[in-house]
Amino acid sequence: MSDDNTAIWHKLEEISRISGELGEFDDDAVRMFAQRVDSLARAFRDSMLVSPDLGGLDE
Amino acid sequence: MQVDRLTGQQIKRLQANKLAMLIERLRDNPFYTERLKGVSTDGDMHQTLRAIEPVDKEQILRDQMDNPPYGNRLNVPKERVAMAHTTAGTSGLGQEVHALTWRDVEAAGYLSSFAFRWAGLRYSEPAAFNVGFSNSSGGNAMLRGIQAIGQTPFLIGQSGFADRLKILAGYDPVGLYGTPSAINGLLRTAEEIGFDIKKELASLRFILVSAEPFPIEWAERMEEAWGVRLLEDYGATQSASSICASVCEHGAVVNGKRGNMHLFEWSFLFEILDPETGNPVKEGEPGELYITNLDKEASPLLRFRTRDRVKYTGRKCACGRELMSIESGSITRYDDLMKIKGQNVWPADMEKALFSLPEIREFLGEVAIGPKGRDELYLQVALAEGEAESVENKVRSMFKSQFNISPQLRFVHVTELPQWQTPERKSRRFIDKRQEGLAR
Repeated sequence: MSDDNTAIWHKLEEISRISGELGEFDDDAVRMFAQRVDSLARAFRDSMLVSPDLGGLDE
Repeated sequence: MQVDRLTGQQIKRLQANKLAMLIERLRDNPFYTERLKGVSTDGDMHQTLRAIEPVDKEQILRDQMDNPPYGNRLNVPKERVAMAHTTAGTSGLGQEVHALTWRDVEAAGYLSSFAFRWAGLRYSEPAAFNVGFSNSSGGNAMLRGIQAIGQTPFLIGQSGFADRLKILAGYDPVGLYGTPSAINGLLRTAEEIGFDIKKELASLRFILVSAEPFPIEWAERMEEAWGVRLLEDYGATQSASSICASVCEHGAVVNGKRGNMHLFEWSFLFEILDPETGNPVKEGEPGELYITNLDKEASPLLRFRTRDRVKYTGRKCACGRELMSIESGSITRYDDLMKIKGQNVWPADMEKALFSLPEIREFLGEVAIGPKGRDELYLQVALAEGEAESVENKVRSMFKSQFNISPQLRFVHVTELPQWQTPERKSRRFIDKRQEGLAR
């Protein structure tokens, strides 16, 4: 797996974490925004990247 | 490593991991619980798959009728459903409903973007698609697929052909998506209104088509008339509302032969099985395509029987990708086979034969009970050019030699025939009206 791929993966994990924290705000618009950002990150990750957790693809 | 450049071995490992996670996610889903009872994810991925009963259209329709609107298949709380897509309903059995979370909506775009990338769309370039917006998955997949890398400044699917051409000429798109019928219709309209396609759409580099089979001659004719490359993709509402296969940079027709559509195996698991034996077909053989959505959240499908007849072309391609591939331009339906005057014929083969004649613009075939109480094939043909008498002779001779059928021919104006323009209105150029005739 390339370093670029792993770096993007970790950035997306970070975005998901921040979205999770935002989602705890007591405001519908902020919660919705957080959900959309998290969805975007997960969709990109699932569709465009190879997960570093999926078992040593470069063996 | 780009997902589309994984080796065959890497793809298999990625799929095995994703499949095991999917099965665990679905063990408590009421639609899948029974199907997954006793299914172990420890062994070989293909053995695991074969232990699971396939899902078909009738089971989905029954599930959503019993548990409206999404069926028990829904694998997220209802409040996480961002939108739903319905199938076209052309089978006559009913329209399936497939729910999507926001992740699924966005993922349909990222996955679909691979078809546009391979076609040649680059960062921030404009492209257009001939699909109107509705509950069908087509509009969403195309809009988000293009927007994942490029731009869609104007929509054209809502307009008539002449207006579409005017809009396109106004903003210089580099790519255009449409069904073969829509691409055909645009070209014919351009000829009628004196719109010089090569001059007015000089920026256009590629056309991407899907949803209908086409003859090689038609593809070559379109590339010549439009002055662009022609490529093909494949997708379905059941493939996560996304494009799930596409030809690569080499195009839909390569040196006079059909190209390879590469299946997006990093997010789906595909099987191509012999409908008689249920065994995987060999390279070069036709079979039924089964699709498993590995990543979808809201309405995931495990081993969905598409009823689509595809020809498996192996994993080797000059582009170097090792993705499983199917032949371009020749996908038909297993449930389309017709028996006319004792002959088994595929409507797609008759379509290919008729559209191989450049004189034919559009047609409609109806199989009905004739005055002598026997089935007859009635063909209504609209001409683009040429003399009716000469075309009639060509069609008669072609149908006799290829299908052993003598059709009844009538020439009509194109406005008297259905206009097939978008994937929501899948073209049905051959209609069976024998039941109506028998009922009279």
